[in-house]
Amino acid sequence: MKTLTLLPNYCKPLGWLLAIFGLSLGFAFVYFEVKLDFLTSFFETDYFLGGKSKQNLTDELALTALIVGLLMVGFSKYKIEDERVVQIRYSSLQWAILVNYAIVLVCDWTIYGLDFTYVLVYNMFTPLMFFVVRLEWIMFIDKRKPQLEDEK
Amino acid sequence: MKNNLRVERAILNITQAELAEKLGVSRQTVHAIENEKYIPSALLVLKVAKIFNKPVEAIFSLEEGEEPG
Repeated sequence: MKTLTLLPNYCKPLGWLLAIFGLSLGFAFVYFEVKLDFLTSFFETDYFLGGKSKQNLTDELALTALIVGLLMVGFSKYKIEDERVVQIRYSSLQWAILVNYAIVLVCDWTIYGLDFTYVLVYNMFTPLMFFVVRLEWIMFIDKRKPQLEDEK
Repeated sequence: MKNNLRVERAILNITQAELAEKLGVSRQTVHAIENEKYIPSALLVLKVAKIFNKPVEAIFSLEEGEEPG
């Protein structure tokens, strides 16, 4: 089975660093209103309360780092990239999409008004996050299977 | 799909790791095949048969309910 070209294995730890940085910065931005003052847009845009202003790009940086980081983690080769790993990656993608949209449907019927914008915001990266978490978990459990002994 | 990979490996006196290296897969994959947790592709099945110098049917077989017709 032909698959997409994957990134080299060294991109995986780099991806983790980027994703953790993005998640931390995003968390700090949303819950503690941390803003990197040097990060502003080059041009002014319409401000929703009227007028124009330069936008702070801290949240853009956080989201970009998180998405790019998770993509690097999920689509980098493992040290031994064999057909079983390909199958695990594919099934993890499938699982992530199904779980993500099950949650979106539940939220659709239980969360209303402006609160639903949080669902939309989180949905920008939760499919990727579920995919990476499941893939890495399955591969981690696989490595630690106690029955693996050198059998002669 | 059933297999007697473990028996064949014991006959040739090679470890899971050694077989995995010959096949170009991870040891976890060989382990999963032996424990019938993973069904290998046709390519991998043919490689296994070549390594043990036996026909595919001597190593892999269909379970009841998997027979065609």
